[in-house]
Amino acid sequence: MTDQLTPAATPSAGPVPRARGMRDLLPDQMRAFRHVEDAFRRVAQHWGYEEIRTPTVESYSLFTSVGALSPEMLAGAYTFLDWDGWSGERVMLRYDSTIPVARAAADAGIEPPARLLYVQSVFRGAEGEDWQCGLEYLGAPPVVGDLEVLAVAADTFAALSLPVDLRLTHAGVARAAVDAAGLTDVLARRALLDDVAGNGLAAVQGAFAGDPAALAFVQAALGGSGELALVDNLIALARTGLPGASAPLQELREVAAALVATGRAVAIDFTLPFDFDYYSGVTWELRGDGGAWGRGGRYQPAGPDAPESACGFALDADRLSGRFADAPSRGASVAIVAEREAGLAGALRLASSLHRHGISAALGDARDASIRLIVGPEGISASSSTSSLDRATLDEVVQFVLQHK
Amino acid sequence: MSSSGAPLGLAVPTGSLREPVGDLLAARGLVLDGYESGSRLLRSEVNDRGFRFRVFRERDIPIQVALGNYDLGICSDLWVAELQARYPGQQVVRVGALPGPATEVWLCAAPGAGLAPGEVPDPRSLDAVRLATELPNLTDLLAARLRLPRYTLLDLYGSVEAYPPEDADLAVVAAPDAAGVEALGLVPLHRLFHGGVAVVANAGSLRTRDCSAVVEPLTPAFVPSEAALTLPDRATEVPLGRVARDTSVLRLALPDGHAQRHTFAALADAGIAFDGYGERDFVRRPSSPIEGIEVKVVRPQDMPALVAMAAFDIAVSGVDRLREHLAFFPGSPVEMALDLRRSRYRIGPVVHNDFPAETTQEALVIWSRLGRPVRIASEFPGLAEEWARELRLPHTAIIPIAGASEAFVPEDADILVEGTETGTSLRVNNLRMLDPFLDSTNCVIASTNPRTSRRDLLDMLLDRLRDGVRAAAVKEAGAVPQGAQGGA
Repeated sequence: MTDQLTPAATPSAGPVPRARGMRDLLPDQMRAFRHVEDAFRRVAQHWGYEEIRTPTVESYSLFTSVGALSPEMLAGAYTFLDWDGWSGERVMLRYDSTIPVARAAADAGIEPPARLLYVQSVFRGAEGEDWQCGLEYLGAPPVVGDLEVLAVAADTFAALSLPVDLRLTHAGVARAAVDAAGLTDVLARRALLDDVAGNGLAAVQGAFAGDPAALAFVQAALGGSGELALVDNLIALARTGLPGASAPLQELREVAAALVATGRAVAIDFTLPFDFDYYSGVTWELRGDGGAWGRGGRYQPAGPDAPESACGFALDADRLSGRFADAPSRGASVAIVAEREAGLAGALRLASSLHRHGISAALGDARDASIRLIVGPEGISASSSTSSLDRATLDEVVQFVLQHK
Repeated sequence: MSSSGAPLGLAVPTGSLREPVGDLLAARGLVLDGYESGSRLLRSEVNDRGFRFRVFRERDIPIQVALGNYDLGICSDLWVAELQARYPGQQVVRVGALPGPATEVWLCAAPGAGLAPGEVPDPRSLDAVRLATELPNLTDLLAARLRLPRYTLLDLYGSVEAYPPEDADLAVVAAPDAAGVEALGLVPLHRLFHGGVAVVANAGSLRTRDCSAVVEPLTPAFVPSEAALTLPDRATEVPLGRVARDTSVLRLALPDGHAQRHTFAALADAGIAFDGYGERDFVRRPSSPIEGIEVKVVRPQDMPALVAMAAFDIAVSGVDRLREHLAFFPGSPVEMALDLRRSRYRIGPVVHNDFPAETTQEALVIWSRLGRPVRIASEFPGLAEEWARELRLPHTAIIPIAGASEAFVPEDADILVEGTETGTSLRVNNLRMLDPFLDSTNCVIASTNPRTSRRDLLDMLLDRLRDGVRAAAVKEAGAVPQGAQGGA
């Protein structure tokens, strides 16, 4: 097209900045991130979860087909035409991991019950790229499955020595309220559910102006967070005010009681906004110093091969990592310097030997090294801040490093 | 927003709003020299009131204001809604409404789809639905509200009303009102948006800059007018009737707009005439004297995608549009079947007359040393990106625009990648083209894997058009041109 032209030879436009919303995780941040990730992975694996990773790019229709792409989500979705976009086929950067994990399990024919964990990022508009640690328990039985997933989340925070409250609600209560509002039209119901997703149970109050018993239930539920007694009171009010909420409340009480009995901090909170059309059972948020650290709940996976029900959660790994900025460095503790060309092979052999002993060692200068080894034709010399060794053998050097690292 | 030292910037619309907005501004004492109807001028220097103006296609105005390239703008509320449907955080504030035509956006269907006016089809019956629109953001928002399970969005340049029912199941169109939708031959199902003519401002400019030179004289003209987005909250249980592609016919797309007269002439040279497709006038579905050929008139910009999707087997479009399509989708199953050698024009980089380079080669040195991204505005973003990539411009920002492109250089873009036939519009706006990189003509494009079972008709049509090109060349120059043998 421009063969008569010579391409620009000396670009001097300066460094190209990162794409908006994206960020680098530098060594300090990665150390903190790994600290969180390792704690999560360790706990989840104790409960039998296996790791999975899904593609960064998914079909746009994956999210629309399960009804997950709300107008609010749309504003934050990275979507674009696929390579064969002439057909109108669009793709989307992973907005959420739950739906792709369920899709991957169905694609691979993984039979429920399946316990899957993931550590991967999601892409959401102005928030950009966010890393999450999460899990999905596909085919999780009611109550027992909820408890297990909540326990994994709580144990992860215990492993990180971060105190959190488990704030619980139940999607069935919001659904019962929407059902009681008597909206038969599919779109009218959809609009109300979208409102509930954004504003919590408060969105249905107006529908009960002529029903004092139902209104009493909703007002009590919206009175603020409470303890198990709040659930008991709501069960009493639901008998007349909102019968459809009774069974969900009983389930919520069972889960909450078990958590309280094992010493976990639990609060019942019906003001939490969730997509109650997506979630189907006990739904919860982990709240600690600095706000919400993660969310989870029971949902009904979509698709012909999907299990009837599942539980999962996702932790905000980026924000959690910020709490561990002082995680210890993992840089090389030993610097190996080859004195001249003849020492290069010896330096490589020495590095391999140290690595076999679990010691991090790098060739040349290493910023965090506490021990320096010089390899020359006469042997190896070693020095630390407190001691040194000259003309030593490989075995002697390994012993020296093990003593002084 | 514009930097504090820069003069206030006002973005005003071209097209149908140019005359009424120009009259209204003049009546309020804001005479914009060169903005009068019929003028090709798209930009001004700072006037005695201390602001400058630029003329843009309406859909570009909220974007330019949101970017802060202009402090204020005047456009239909529709285009603000279209921007904010997808990017609600954009810094565009509606300051007031001016008297002017109302615009509505309607979800609509073809009369044969089984839906009466006001009936939104049951979303559960809409799996894999095809939605045609010029308003992709509002349409996506609608789809999200309806929770359409899977859908294909046909993001079109225009002529949306031509698509249902054969090439789209539903359409989202702009019209003055429901009667306007019916006048397009469609059934209005739900009014998604209603608005008028808005004065919009960059939110930062309103907070930090003195905009009174424009706002003060306009305020007395403000009218009470709301811009309202209304997502459907009721649906019927009536399913949507759909039409599948008929593969027993050859589907041919012909262009409307500028390319129509050239296409008409090329068909005439080939001895082909379709009833309802004249030199200037057309109906959307001209009838064909050749049995088995189905003809529809759509925008040439949309044709490569339509042929690739197998909605049409063959179309008359332009080399520029085909190349633009292939720049984005190099594997697309569409190719040039015949160069019709008409409507010739050149595409290349356009700069301001004051730009200190005569050739692209000289300009490269300057662009490479700007110390910031080189801003390239174009109605051909794919071609612009390809051109910049081949030149290895180190860091570029491609600005896709809807038209009135001459307004962008030099303040809002360093380069305009633009097509020109005579160069008149460039000269009027103090611009010039460096080295053109593409000669474009109109051409026949075809699917590499046509869906039709009537390959015989395809071959026949191409043969006749090819003969027509030869005949025209003989008539014009007395010689058969090379390249009229078919193929790209």
